[in-house]
Amino acid sequence: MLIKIAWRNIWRNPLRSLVLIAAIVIGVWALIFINGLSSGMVDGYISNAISNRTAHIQVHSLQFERDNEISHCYNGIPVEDFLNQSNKVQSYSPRIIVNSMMLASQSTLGATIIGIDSIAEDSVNPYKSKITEGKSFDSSIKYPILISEYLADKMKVKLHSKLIGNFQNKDGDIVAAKFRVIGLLNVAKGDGQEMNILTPIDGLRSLTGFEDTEVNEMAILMKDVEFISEFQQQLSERFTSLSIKNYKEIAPDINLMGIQIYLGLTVMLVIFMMALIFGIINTMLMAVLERYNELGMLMAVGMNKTKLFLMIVLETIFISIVGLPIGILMGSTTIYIYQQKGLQLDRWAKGLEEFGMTSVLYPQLSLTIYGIIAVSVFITALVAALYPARKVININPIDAINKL
Amino acid sequence: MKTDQPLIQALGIHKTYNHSHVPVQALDDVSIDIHKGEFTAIVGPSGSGKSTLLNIIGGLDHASRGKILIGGQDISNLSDSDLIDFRKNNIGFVFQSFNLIPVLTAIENIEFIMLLQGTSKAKRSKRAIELLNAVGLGDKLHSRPNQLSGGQQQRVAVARALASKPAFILADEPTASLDSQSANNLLDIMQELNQLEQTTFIFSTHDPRVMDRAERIIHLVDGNIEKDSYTNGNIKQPTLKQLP
Ligand SMILES: Nc1ncnc2c1ncn2[C@@H]1O[C@H](COP(=O)(O)OP(=O)(O)OP(=O)(O)O)[C@@H](O)[C@H]1O
Ligand SMILES: [Mg+2]
Repeated sequence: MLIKIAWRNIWRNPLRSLVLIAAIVIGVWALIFINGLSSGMVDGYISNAISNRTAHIQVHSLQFERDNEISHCYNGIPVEDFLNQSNKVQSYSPRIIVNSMMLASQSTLGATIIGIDSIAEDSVNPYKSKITEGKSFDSSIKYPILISEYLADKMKVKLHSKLIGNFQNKDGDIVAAKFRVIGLLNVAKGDGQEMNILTPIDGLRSLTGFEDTEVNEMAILMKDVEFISEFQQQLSERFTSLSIKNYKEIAPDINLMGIQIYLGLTVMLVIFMMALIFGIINTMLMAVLERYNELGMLMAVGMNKTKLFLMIVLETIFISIVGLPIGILMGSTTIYIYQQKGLQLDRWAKGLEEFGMTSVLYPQLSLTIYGIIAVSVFITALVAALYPARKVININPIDAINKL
Repeated sequence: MKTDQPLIQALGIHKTYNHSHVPVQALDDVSIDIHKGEFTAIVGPSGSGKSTLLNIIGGLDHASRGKILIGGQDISNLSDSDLIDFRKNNIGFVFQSFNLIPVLTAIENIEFIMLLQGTSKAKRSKRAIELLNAVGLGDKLHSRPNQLSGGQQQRVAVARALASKPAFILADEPTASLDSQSANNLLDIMQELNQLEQTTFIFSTHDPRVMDRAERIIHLVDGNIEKDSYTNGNIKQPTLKQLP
């Protein structure tokens, strides 16, 4: 019956209640949409970073980790065996990494040459899909390379141009090699991958004097992000002399991005809750003072303070959470719609690409965040209920009855 | 009709209001005994202390001095929350207005007080229907207060006051906002309940037509009992209705 009374009381002044409910609907909807946007943005950034740069896990020798010296390599075979045995590994790519001075007819630039297995690499970092001009590796050319459009532009080279690379071999001697550009890659700028040059690992091994088994880096993609930390642990235990890092450790910016969503959410939630608290208190105080006589009468005829308090709290919670499902529905529908067709951010495309983001955004929001929003509204209602409810239990029944 | 032990004993009640600069002496040494089954009117000019006395008897207010015994129990020293419980279980109230919860129907209003007492759902609705029939509102069970006339609302209030099976019913100016026909009608019902069920009523009024109906009239003047008399007044023969 308390529930019935509380619920009906909300509709005694429908306009006033609807104003508050509408405010909550709009607030919740906006919170969900904005967070869906930033969440989608960050997720795009992270999955970009994972496929282009970090994979899920990278394995290096401990020394390479420190100084990036080409000579600090390790035998890749035992690691590959271990990876082949696990059913949680999606794919992996062995790499040799060489810091090189690149010379073209009109320019010189420092870049990173990465020796790859063309098939294995594509399964970790789908570079083939980023080729805009030219083609992928085949055996007809000696020392073919793929470079980014950015690098081509910087060095003023084109498809089929020749580039001389100067770098150290495994023994520390400087070697020079003549590479030929067979394709251009369209990669996001700003995170360093535009300075990467891809070449088949066999050719680079022979240039640097690496054994067939030796690598500098093993990039691993898991079937699910869930598996990362456990598998990282297993690798670390098995290969104690190697450094095993996950993508967050490799690129702290990824982690920062993740934290940023929660920070943004927290700030917005706090502002929303504050505004909501005042809105609810205001509405409830009006509602309660209007019913001064009636509430005093209830106390006079024997409704105890606990029940009165509860009744006002219930009423406050009801009025606050009717809007919640509507807001959530509107928010999730909006997110769903834009998830299907993507949100075009052409106007800001240039700026976003600078930060390694795509210009079509696919908003999304995890259930956890829906939960956090719902719980926050509920808690806000509870907190906002306390003041009006306290006012009510302090009513003096005689005053209330006599006041006409 | 009277038993030896009074139902209500007011012993040397004083009440002084100190809210304003000048203290107001509302009751000055009032003592009365009221027995079970009495139908008592408290009358007197405006400001004579009628409401104050009823509030103190009903445990809504504390006396400055003196004691109230209900069925022998001293309620003067009960805490506010104990008084709320005491009122719920022992006293029925009919006020001049604001008796009902506007968002509840007549029957729900009556059930609500029984709910507070912890009565089961089946018993609640059975008794609520019986009581509404008894006050002649058997056809208004599901009407909200704003769909009822002032007189009908007061009758629901009487039914509500009875619902909790109180020891007695206090009614402060129950007819003040009613036209004379509705006032008479309400008094008829109260009188019937008094005669059939031995329900003790104490009500205040300054309406002469209403006070004539009482079996006992207590005159208050300036916080003092000026006269306390039993009449055999114009008690109408009730039209019999069976009560729970
Ligand atoms: N809360 C209060 N504060 C101060 N004085 C009060 C208060 N309540 C009543 N009084 C005073 O006490 C005296 C008795 O008041 P009370 O309400 O009991 O009179 P009453 O007989 O019920 O009058 P009425 O017929 O107008 O209802 C009056 O002088 C009144 O002004
Ligand atoms: Mg009065």
